[in-house]
Amino acid sequence: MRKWFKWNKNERPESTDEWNDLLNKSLSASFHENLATFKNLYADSYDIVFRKFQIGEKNPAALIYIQNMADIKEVDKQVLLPLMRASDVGKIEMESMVNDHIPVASAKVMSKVSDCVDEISYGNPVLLIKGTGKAVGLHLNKPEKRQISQPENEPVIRGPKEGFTESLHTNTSLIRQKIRTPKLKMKSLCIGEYTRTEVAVAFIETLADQTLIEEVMNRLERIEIDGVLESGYIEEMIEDTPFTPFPLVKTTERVDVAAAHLLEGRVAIIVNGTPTLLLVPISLTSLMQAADDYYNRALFGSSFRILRLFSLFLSLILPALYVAITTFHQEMLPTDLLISIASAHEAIPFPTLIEALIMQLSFEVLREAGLRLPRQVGSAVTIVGALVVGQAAVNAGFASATMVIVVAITGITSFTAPHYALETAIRILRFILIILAGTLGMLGLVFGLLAITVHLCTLRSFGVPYLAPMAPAESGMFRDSWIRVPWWKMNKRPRLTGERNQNRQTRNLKPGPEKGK
Amino acid sequence: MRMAKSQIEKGRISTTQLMLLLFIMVNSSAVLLAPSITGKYADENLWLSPALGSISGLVVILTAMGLDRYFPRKTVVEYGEKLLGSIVGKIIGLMFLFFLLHVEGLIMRQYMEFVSGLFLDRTPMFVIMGGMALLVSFTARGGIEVVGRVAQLIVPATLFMWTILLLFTIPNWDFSNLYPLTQKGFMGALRGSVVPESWFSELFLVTFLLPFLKSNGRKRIGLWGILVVLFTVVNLCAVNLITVLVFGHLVPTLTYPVMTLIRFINIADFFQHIDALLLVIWVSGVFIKLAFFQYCLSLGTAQLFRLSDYRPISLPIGFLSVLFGVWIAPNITSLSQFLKTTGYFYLITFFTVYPLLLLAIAFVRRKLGNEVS
Repeated sequence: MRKWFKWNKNERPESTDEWNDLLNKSLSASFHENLATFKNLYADSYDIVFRKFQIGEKNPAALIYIQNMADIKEVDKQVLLPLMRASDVGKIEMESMVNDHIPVASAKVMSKVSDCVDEISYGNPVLLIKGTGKAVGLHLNKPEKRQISQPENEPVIRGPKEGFTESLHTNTSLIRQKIRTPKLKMKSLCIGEYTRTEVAVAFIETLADQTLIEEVMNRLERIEIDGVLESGYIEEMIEDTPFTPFPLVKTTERVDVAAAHLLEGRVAIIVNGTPTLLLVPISLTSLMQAADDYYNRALFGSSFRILRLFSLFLSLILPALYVAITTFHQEMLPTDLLISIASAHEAIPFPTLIEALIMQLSFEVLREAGLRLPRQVGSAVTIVGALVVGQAAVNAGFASATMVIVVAITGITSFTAPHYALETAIRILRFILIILAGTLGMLGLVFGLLAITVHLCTLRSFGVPYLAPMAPAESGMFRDSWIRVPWWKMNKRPRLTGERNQNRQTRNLKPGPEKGK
Repeated sequence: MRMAKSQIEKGRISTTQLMLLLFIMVNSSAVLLAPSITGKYADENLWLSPALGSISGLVVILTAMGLDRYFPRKTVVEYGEKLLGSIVGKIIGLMFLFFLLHVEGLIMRQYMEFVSGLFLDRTPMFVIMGGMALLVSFTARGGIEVVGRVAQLIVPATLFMWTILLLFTIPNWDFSNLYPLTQKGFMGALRGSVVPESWFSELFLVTFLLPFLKSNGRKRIGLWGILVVLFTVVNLCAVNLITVLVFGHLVPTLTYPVMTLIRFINIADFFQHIDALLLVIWVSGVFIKLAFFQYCLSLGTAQLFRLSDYRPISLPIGFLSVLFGVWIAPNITSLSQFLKTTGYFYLITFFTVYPLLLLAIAFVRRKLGNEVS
């Protein structure tokens, strides 16, 4: 009772409890009390506009909206003008007002303060009318948006060039444009106490597993956080295993990639304010797949995928292998090569292990610097870095030329990773392997690789084994893993995600001159 | 499928995973020593010995499957207790587990001797064994599914590399090293098959896999088991034959004939001295074998002592296996002496005689009308 009293005295809420009480309140019957409630909520906010006016002769009403977030022209034309000109309003009911007098495509009648606050926060004007005890949110917002542009982080040579933007609504409509069936469902929820970030969960009803969707919703609903500024916040909150270098959630900025995953019975999580979508569940093979693989002809798609797998593996083990062989197993090298490596290493003051670590580390530092610096300065760093790490280091006798080559090949091969998160995992593991190889030789390298394998075998992404088509092996495991079979042979969905609806297409689609008669 | 309430392993494995696990378990330790141990008695006929030795493998695998018929979804630790009564069963079960631990220590030591003898002669024993024990404990802790998946990933890769390595030795083959079978007599090959018999008897550990086999794979499991024995025979015979082709009567004098074999490889003066590759292959194989042993040991211990979970005891058992690896023999000579002589009876007792005994008891009790399961 005391608090109730306080509000009537127009005092602002102070503690979090008072805020919550105020927000969970229903709108009262009194127009002025409601107005006072909103004035209290939005005290000290210069950008909130309270526009009072009369409907017809003597029915006071008020519009509440955020400056610049509402479309003022539309508000004038569709709301204020018809309402102020209305003469025979008679007894006022909110529903009939909306239906008869407000020509706005989408409007929502509300009776709770928190709903009104949500509407206002999206930029929608909220209309209060005396004597109704309700409010109506008019969808006349004009959010700031970026143009749809090409996703910079996932370029393709062939394929659609459109990428997601920061706006959730743009993103959902982009997906809807690709997959037009009504079976595509999107559930919405709001995460973040302060940011009230909209999150949408998209899936195709007949393909995605019901328990998977429930699991996704459960994991999302248990998040209680002050703010969600990027999908990375959500990603870390819903992972199966928090401490692993490997990404258990796939991210993408490409509409076609998201659509392809939805068609395989996976779930997309779209977060407002970021162009990066989350896709679950995934396996390691889906991180090896690039969008190009599916647009180029199967032979080349497969070849490039195999090339990528090989390069990534090389990028993981090459420095470690070099250290192991030159430190412990010199006999494995042909004599000529051994002599040239040994003579190059002769003047170097460090053991190979230390040399490899220093060079690899300086390469990583250069990369990070190139990423952080403004673009104008970035090129300078690259030049200096190339000179210092390459030429000068060799000339000054700090590093051998072979080591520079090894580091360079490692760097180049690691850039073939189609997903940045996978590449970062490899970058971290590379250092561990170098140290193991430098201390135990080939045995250390084997230990490291075995440990990585075992770790990968224990991982799961939303219940799906991380090495899914390989271990546990499935029939048709090669369909879309090491290689990409032609589209006319891609008859089945991946077993563990598309279990509900296995068949992707009709059989016998293989083309030929005698077909199609 | 009815699942016993007390079952603490919830994972399931497929037939392929079971086959790969069993295959690598017998082969990984056998390939290194098979030629020299069998060659001691069989001389040039040593390529025949593994085939003769495989009989115990067949017996053991069929025994395990017969016992599985009587006690579906139970391991040897569980049904041993049922068949022998709770007190005697517990004692013998404990002995069996202790024996398993001892054998794991034996494998650990074999691995250590191989690595430190040929590659890392100045690295302390504990580092080589401890690193492996950590890795193995970590794997066994993941349960049967992880062990099965690791095998499924690694075994095909190692087999591929292994085949390539063996094919690389073709230039060194000398067919004049082969003599007619009857020249040295058949008895030599038979005597040489005694030690391989003990290796094949390890296949009894299938009893820890059968309860967790996916139900769709259970039907023709007998056939798959026999196939594993067959593949092992093919592999070991091929290795023995190739060593004979390359080294002739020198085979018994070599400690690790396969190692020496790989050292002989020289392709285009570039692929030479690739024994480190053999290290990679062999360590991966022995790693899976150890992980499997450790899993059986952890699960068996948990079942014997009615623990609610086997995962926490994996690491302590790994530590014990290192200790046993140290205690088991003072040096490699006495280790290989043990393997060539008493080791046979030791392995056969628990891996062949004990299961046969259990099967006989189960059979007799079923005949007498007692409910066994």
